[in-house]
Amino acid sequence: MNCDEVRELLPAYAVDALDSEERAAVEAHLETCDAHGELSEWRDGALQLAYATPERAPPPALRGRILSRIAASEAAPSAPAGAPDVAPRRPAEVTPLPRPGEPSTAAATPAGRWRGLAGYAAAAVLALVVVGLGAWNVMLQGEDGSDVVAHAFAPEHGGRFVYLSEEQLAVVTFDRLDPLPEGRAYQVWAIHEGQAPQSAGLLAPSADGAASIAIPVALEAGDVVAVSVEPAGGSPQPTSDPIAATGP
Amino acid sequence: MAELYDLVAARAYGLAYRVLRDGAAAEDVVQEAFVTVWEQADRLDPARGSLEGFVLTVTHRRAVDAVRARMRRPQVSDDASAVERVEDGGRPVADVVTDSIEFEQATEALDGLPAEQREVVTLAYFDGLTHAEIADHLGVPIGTVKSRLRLALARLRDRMGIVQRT
Ligand SMILES: [Zn+2]
Repeated sequence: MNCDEVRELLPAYAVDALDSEERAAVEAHLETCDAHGELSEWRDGALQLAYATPERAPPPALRGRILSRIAASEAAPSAPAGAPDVAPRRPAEVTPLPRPGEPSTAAATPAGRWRGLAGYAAAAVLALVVVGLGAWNVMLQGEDGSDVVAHAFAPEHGGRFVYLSEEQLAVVTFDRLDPLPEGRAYQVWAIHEGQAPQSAGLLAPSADGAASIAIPVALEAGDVVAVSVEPAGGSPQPTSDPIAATGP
Repeated sequence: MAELYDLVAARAYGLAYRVLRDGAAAEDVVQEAFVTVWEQADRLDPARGSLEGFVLTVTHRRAVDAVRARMRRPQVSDDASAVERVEDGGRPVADVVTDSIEFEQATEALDGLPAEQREVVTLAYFDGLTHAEIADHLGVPIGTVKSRLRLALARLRDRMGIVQRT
C-alpha cells in the first residue's frame, strides 16, 4: 500500500471502519512511514463521536477487576507481547528513573510507566498506577534518591503513600478501610507544617474497602497527609482525630 | 483530582455499551482497554493526544472488534441515522450520566452534520460496519462513503472548540 492509498483510508481507519486486512495494511505502512501526521486530526474527529455517546456508570465491581488485572500483569515476570525483554524484577529492587527526554531503558518496568505517565501530568493516572504497584510493594527511587517518596503506613488499613516531588503530587491508597455508617465519609487533609489542615477531598472506598486519591500539592518534610471520618460531604476543618496520617 | 478510571470509565463504558448493547461485553471491552493503556503507558507520546482520548480510542476499537466477532455481520440498529439518546429501558436511568459539556458540544456537532454524513459516521462508529458494508447497506459507491466520512470527521474536528484536550 502506498502513501496515497493509506491517506485515503485514514478517515475510515480512525473510526475503525476498515476490515481487518485493510487495517493491517494501513498499520504496516504507518510503522514505516512518518508522513501521516494527519491521522491525529481524523482521530480528533472520531473522538467527538465518543463524546457524543451518553456516559453510563459501569458496574462498581469493574473498577476492582481492572485494578487487580493490572496488579496481576505486573506481578507476572513475563513482559507483554511486543515489549522489550527485561530482566525479572525482584521486590525492593531500586529501579532508576530515566531522565526526561532520555529514551526509557526501563520500558515495561514500573518506573518506566511512571515516567511515561507523569509526562501527562495526570494525577488521575498515577493513582491508578499506585494501586497496581501496591500489589507487590516495589520501592521506587530517583537517580538522585529524591524523586519519589514511597512508603507504607497505617498497616491496619493497608495504607500506601507516594509523593512525586517533581510533579508535586501525593498519592494515598488504602487496601481496606472499614465501612462507615450512613452519613459519614473519609476525608483527606493536607497539612503544611504550622498551618490549618486543608481538605484534599473525600475517599470513595469500593465495596471491599479499597480507595485511593491523588492530591496535587507541594509537600515538604514535616508536612502531613491525614485521613479522618467526617460528615458525608466533608467538613471545612477536621472534627475528629485522624485514623491515619503520614507524610513525605 | 479523580483517578483516570473514575475520569473516563463512564464514558468508555457508555461507548462500549453503545456499540455492543450488552453490559457484560461492554465491561470486558473496557477492562481490556484499560489494561492495554496501562501496558503501553510508558511508550505513549504526550504530544500525540490526551490519555483520555487514548482510552476511548482503544475502547472503541475493541468494541468494534467484539461486535464483529459476535455476528459476522453486525446488526444495524433501528435508529442508525441518529445517536441513541433514549435509553433502552433495560437498566435504571440512574446509570446514565450525560450532562457533561463535552457531551452537549459533541452532540451538537454531530447533529449539525448534513444527514448523509451523519448517517455514514453513525453506521461506522456506532454500528461497527466497515466502509464496504456501509456502501452495500446504503446502495452507494464506496468512494461516496469514503468522502462522506472524510467530510464528516473534518467537520466534527473543526467544531471541537473547548472540547479539545490536547
Ligand atoms: Zn506513507
